Amino acid sequence: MLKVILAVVRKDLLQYFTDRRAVLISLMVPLGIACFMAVIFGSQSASGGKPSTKITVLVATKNKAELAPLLERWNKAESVTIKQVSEQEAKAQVNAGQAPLAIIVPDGFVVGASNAFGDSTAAKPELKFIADPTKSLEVGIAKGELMGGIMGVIVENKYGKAFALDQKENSPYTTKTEDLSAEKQQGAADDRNATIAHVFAGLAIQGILFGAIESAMLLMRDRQKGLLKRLTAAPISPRWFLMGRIFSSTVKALFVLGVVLMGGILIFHFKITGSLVGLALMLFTSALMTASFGLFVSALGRTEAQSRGLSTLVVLIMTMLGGAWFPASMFPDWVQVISKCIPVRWAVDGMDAMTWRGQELAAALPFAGVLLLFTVGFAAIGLTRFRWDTE
Amino acid sequence: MLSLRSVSKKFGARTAVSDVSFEVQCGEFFGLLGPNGAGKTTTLSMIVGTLLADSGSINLEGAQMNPSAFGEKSKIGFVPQETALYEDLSANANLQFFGSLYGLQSLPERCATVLRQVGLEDRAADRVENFSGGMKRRLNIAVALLHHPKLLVLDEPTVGVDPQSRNQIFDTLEQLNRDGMTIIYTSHYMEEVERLCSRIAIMDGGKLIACGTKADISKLLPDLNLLALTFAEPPPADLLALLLLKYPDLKAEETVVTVQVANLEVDVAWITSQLAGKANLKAIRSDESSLEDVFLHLTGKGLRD
Repeated sequence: MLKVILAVVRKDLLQYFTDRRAVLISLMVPLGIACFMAVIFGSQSASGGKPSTKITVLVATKNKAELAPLLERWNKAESVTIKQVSEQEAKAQVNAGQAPLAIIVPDGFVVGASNAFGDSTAAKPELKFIADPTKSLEVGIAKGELMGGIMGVIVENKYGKAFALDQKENSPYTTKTEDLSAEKQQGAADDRNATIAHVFAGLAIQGILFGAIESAMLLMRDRQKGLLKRLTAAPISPRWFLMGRIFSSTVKALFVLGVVLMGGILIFHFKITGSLVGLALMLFTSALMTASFGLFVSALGRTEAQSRGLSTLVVLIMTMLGGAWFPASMFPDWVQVISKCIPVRWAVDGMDAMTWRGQELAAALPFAGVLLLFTVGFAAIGLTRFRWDTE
Repeated sequence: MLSLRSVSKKFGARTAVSDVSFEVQCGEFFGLLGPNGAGKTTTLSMIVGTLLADSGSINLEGAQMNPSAFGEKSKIGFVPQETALYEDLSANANLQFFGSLYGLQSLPERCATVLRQVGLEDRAADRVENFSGGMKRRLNIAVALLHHPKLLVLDEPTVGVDPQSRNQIFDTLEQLNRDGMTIIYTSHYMEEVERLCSRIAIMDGGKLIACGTKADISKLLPDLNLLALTFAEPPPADLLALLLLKYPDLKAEETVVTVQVANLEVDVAWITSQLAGKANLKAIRSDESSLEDVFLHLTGKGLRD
């Protein structure tokens, strides 16, 4: 049996590496998408979740003298850049998507708001925002910054400079945020490591799932070409051949995983902070799971055309719900519950634990165990339901 | 060597093979002839153990044949109808892979030998996708020869092959048979089976309709000879009417008239006497009945209908 399995693995790897263009595509697609997402999300993480470039906020007012204390504060803000324009111009620029937010400050706003502060009977001046609905994240951040400045001016105007709590020196307490990643514990870098490591792990898993679909399609093509009939005429159990296919697909998946993660380390310098043995275990069980998933796909499909579309959809749903694109923690609670039924979730969470959460080998075992259960399930269905003949 | 007894196979409601029985002797070149859909491939699949018969038995050298009879499977070389090869690999890599499934010792030498047998020794390192159709077919056969099978089973091995490659394949198979290998050859080309096979089974609609040597099978036809009369110009209508009265199955095409006669000598004498002075007869030819005629007689349709 072992000789047959080894012969199948050798033949499959020879076929895989013979088509160099296909090998390159199988590596470049996940690597390219991961690099793109790492650039986008990595730069946001590096700035503490805020956009890496400052948000332009348009300010329109008729009383420029009154605006001076507000501008003084707003110009100190980390996330926004203030640009003074007319109200008409503000509307036009937001409408054209050139700025996410504009604020229209009415005449006598600071005095009116100061009078109304603590007096519910006084008339309240109206501050008008013009916002681009497609840029809600930037709008939220900018509004927060602007409102902090406005309240500081109002309080200072009403009670004096000592009560302006938006000024660092007036704050009665200090704050410190500690992110619980291994990087932080070791006093090293930032959230960027976690984001990039997650992106590369997730997209590498997606890459090997698509590789598994390709393997399944190849197997179905072999059936169509009569190759499997020749194999069933040989004095071997056909299941040995399928087991060989699982192992060869595992080796191919490990190769893709290794290259993609290595690419991430070399290009973005993210660090593996957990157990290396644990990471190796996660890579192996993830590769084994996707390889048996490939067999499962080929066993359920009758024709290549029929199976390809359906399995692509299944992989996209699995990677999306499994947290390969975005961390599962961002999902609503009910989606998080569903995602635990998806093997990708266990693969990505296990990889996260070993790459940036700095966990020990023992932490990888539950993830690896669940992935092995999925492997056994997929393989059992694949080995028993596989159709050898086109008849 | 091989015997089939009342073998049947159904796929759902469709009966692919029904109650087929025949025997193949050691060293024989046995032909399985029939049109597409006759049940030849299904019968072969049961013989080589890729399909399990629903009923009946298949015995190879006294042992029951079935999908898990690995000992018996290793005695058979199977050439499927499709060119079942990995086209992105070289000829040698294909042979190495399939050979390793049979646990062969000294595989490289064996690969070189079979490549030589099919005339592809100088293409060992070339990828199969660059081969012509005929070369692929020859390599398809080489794969089946790797493990020195006692019985070689070929399922329409010349489909889509040019005449030169076809003759090369025939020469190889005839040599193998001369060397003592038992061969079962299926085809819907009666000329191939007539050339190669010493005994023939004819199948149609999943049933065996005739089996024996070509002489045995020809006896199934009524004792009639086919007479082809060639005229210098199309014969006159009154003459054709006269011939038609005596030979109701007469066929006339331009200058050639074909009739079936019971007694060659008597009928030729009668025909020439009737034609004297009425038509310019250029030639008379008596044709031997073919397997096609037998098939037509037994089923009412042609082999390639």
